[in-house]
Amino acid sequence: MKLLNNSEFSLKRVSDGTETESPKSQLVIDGKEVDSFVVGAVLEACVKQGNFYLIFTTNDCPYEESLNIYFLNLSYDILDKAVLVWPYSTGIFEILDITQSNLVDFKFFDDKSWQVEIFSHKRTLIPYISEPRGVWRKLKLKHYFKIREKLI
Amino acid sequence: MADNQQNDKAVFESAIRALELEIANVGVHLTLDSAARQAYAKQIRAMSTELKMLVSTGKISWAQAAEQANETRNLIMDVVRNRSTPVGRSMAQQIKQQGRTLNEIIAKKCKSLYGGSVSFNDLPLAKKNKIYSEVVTSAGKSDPKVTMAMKKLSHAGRGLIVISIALSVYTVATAENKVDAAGKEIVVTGAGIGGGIAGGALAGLACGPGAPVCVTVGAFVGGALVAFGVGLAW
Repeated sequence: MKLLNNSEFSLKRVSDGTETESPKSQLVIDGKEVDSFVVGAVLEACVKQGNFYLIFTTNDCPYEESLNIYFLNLSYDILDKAVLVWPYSTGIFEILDITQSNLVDFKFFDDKSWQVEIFSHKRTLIPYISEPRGVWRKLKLKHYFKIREKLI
Repeated sequence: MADNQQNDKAVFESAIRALELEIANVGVHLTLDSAARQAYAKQIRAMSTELKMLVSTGKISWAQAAEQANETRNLIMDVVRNRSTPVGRSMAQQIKQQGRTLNEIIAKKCKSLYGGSVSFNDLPLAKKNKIYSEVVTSAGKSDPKVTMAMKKLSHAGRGLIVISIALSVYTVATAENKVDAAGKEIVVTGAGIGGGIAGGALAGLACGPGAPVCVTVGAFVGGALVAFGVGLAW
């Protein structure tokens, strides 16, 4: 796994957040805009794992922040996504560990650390049960990654 | 035969009343929590706008505005959480909540505006003021996904209240003594809602913070018990 720097992978904000919409951004790879858009205003981290990217963005709403997690292929198609958010709570993102080949440890909410496990192929996750509270996804059974929490 | 019919009618009315009460209970809980959320979004926005106006009229500096914005924002969040119903509050407390310090927000803004290697203290005043103004703007923002979801719940809550009122109207319309039935409906439903909130609060005390299942059960049981007691006393 490799943590990409800002010159390799960044965001260009295309719309600001409003009372009804989250901000949106376009992906910029090696200084060139590509035809791929994500929710978020700030790129917190981009990790390259083989032929895939795992990116973390936040909405620039530091008192009630959301963490958007995207899993993309080399063509920058969004294969999977999840959001960490909780009403009246906030988090500050920090990468903790990317030394294992398919695990990314990070911090967001205060009292625990979190881990993303990237699967080698899509696996079934039961909505609302397979992942901890605070993780929100669209209702789908098959996913490329799973989020779990680790108490500190 | 007549006795059996009378008993069946009493059982049916009791079931309708229990259903009506719990529908009203859920409807009121959803409406109160959604109203608290809308008030929260409105208050923080107003606070941020007012602070920007005070700076633009020269009454306070950007640094003072950022400090006030941070304090007020965390305070409003505490107040609104406490104004939510016990069920709403216990849901919110499931993730440990801690207000952000001004330094944390400044560090985050400094990094996103000027890069990770820059120290805030070394910045010229204009750049510091830019960061302070961003802090004030951020303090007026709430997550739109949460606010919109709560708005939808508000509509659902109002719908449930309408259903509960319709059931009350049915109960009164089919009663022999309509005036007595109307009085009983108002008192029992009102007491049930109050009992629901009190039951949720008591369950919250017993189970501790962040236990929404326990608090929800407490709200249902509290509402049913109080309504049953008031109904018997009527």
